Amino acid sequence: MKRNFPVCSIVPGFILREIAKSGDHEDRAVALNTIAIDGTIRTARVHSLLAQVGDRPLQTDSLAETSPSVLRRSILDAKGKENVEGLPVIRAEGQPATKDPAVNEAYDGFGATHAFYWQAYRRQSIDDNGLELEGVVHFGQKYDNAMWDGQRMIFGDGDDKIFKRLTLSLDVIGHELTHGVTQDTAGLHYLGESGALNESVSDVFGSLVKQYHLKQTADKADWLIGAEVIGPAVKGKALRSLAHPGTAYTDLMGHKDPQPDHMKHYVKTKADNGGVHLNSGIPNRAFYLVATELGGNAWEKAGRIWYETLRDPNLRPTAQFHAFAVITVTVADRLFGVGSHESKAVKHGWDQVGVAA
Amino acid sequence: MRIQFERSGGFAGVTRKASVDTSRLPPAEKAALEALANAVAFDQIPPPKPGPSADRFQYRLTISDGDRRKTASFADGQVTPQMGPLLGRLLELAS
Repeated sequence: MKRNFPVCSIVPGFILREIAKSGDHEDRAVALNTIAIDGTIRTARVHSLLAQVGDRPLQTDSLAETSPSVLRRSILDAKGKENVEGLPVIRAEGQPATKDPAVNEAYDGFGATHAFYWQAYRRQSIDDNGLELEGVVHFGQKYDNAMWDGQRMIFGDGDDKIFKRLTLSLDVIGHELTHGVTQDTAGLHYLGESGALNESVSDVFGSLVKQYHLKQTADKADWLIGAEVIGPAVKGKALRSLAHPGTAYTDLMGHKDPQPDHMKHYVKTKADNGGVHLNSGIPNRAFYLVATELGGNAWEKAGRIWYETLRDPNLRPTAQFHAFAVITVTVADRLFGVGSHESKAVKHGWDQVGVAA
Repeated sequence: MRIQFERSGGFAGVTRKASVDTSRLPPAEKAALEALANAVAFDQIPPPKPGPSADRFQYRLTISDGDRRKTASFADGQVTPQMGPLLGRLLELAS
């Protein structure tokens, strides 16, 4: 029987995956096709199960490719140009390490981040559907930045004064990949408070990727972002501190770490999309306070609450700090019980940074 | 000519600014910087890349010369090859 599944993600991925696993031949083919098209549309990448499966009857091996643990990485080299199209793949999934440390760091960092999301939250890659992780290294000349362009992660080499190569910090890689996760879930608008939440979520999970990788409990973690990428011209220990926003560095080209750690210091500015990298300090510290109050592995309780908040349908793309905070408490109530120790800790964390929850 | 430059955002979120009055520069440097500035076609800056993205550098550039004043806001991905050298030079001058 012919069934048409809508292309645009209206059928939840888990249902399609269930059909792909257990439906009859035709249903499975259509479901797999839809999963593939959906992934292609979300990412505008021509990489689909359909292409792998073709018109042949589906074999168990093909279905195995939709299995949750699938990890696909490809690292490309921009060779000093500011270009991401048509680049050569330097290291594809399963290929051995190269002589280029930036390539290997991106590859390994993607692996660690993918493992974190799967093992901690049962999330399959950026789109929860096994999306291939694409990274571009050696972008631009002495390029002092890493970014998410909507489809891939891009890393500059730094100028070796202010920044070393941006792949050196696992939390930076986790930060960039998490922008993809946020885009696929809450879709927080990159402006003002919702933009600062978007940035904070990337810092929170970027730090958790590192903590998970190092098997560090909340009290042992450094809660820093970019400790390994700051160059010799910077006085400081990192680019940001979730524990103590505003203290990460004292001199970067004459600037001090400008992050506020409380609502009363919220920065109103037109620069930086309304200060998205500044005001993220406020929710960053709230997360740190919750995680340390709860103790143990930060990804297990505080991280779980934040992750489920990001996926909560009540979280709107334009959410302000208050709305996000309220949902974290609702989620904590749901996961751990109304009025539970966890729920109180979440509320307490937000209270301490001046955000009503 | 007066050039005001700001680059904000990027992963690190460091805002760097420069404000340059070219009449105060040595003649050779004045000529070089004004040539770079005059090469920028403000009306040919491409539109923003569609769709969401994060951690791109954000630029604001204003060039005033006599009674003419041109200003633009744009992000990484909209920088044309003609603009690259000016932005690079201004970044060197920026604090």
